[in-house]
Amino acid sequence: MEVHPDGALITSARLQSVRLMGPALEPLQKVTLYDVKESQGSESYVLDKYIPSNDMVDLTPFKEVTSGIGGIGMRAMYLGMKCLALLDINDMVALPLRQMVTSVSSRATSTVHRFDIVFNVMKRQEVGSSVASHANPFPPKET
Amino acid sequence: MKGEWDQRADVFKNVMKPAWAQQADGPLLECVPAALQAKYVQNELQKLSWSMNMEIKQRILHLHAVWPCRRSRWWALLIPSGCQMHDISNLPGASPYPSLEYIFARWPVWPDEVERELQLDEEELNMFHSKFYGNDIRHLRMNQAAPCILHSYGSVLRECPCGCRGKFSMWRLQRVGIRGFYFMGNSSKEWFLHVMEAAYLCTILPSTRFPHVPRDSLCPTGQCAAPMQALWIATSWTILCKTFMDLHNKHC
Repeated sequence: MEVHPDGALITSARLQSVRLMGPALEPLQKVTLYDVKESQGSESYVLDKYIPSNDMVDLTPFKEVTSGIGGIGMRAMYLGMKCLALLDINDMVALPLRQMVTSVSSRATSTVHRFDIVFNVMKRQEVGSSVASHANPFPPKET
Repeated sequence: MKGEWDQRADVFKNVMKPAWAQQADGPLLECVPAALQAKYVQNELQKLSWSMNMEIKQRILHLHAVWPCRRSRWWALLIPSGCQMHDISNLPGASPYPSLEYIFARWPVWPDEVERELQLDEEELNMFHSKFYGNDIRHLRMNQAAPCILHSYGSVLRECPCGCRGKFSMWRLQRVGIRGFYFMGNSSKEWFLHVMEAAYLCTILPSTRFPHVPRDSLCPTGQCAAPMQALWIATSWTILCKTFMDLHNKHC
């Protein structure tokens, strides 16, 4: 989203103009909002996002699409990353993929690199906390 | 070059959408080197990186710098803005570049029926040797790296075993040429590589099981992203994350 000089927010996804309650925003500042839901029949938007605590963040998962026989995934798993999904339209690669996932995932287990979600957390803290958490009328869920 | 209008470009566009929708934290893309110059690819990446507050790191990696097989591929990694990451570094180059004899002291021997299947037929041989179909070096040389193994390797005069295309037209073959090569086996006949040999050259574990006959299995092998290049990129990503996490934990 980009903040226009008049204070309106324009979403980059669908170019909708939205109004957001919260602290003042700087013109031309970029902000990211997560899981915004539009209340039916209302102009307001509701933020309801659970942000995991730091020690609960798992950064290992990845998905590989148009994977072929999984050239990227097979090595990523050796680095301790967890494969959530491998996707390809080609039937011929199904068996090699299945074999790869079962053989590698049994070995690469204990290394915990925390990749994915930490960046979400970071972005939320950098650009979201000043906007999103203040605008959120609901407290975050307790864990 | 159809570029953006090539049907295959739809895959790229359709991968961009879930990357945005799921707010992927480190989208990684691999393609042929032309992607670095393709305007529509670069524009889409710019849009994605802008909307997700990320930076693009791109590099073309040449497999033949470290392994005796040509495979130059474009890699792009999107990382969160503000992360301290230098550009993706190049693969460490060996000097001189490794040649086939480094990894194949001699060619494996396969059962007779497998060798028969891998043998080039008369039509394939004639076309490989005809200048109408390009000037590629057809006979694999042990003192060089192998040419790039393509999706059509082993099936250039046939329908693709995976069903992605029918037979190439003669017009197309004459216009674009035939890519591919053979090697001379112990019996002085011309063979395509066995899928396990091809896999090894593409840095796939040769122990990978391919359920189809060896010649058909060459097509998914020729299409793969080289795991060695993937490992190089993934390692850069790992180091970046480790650095970031250390920094993050320090401030918590």
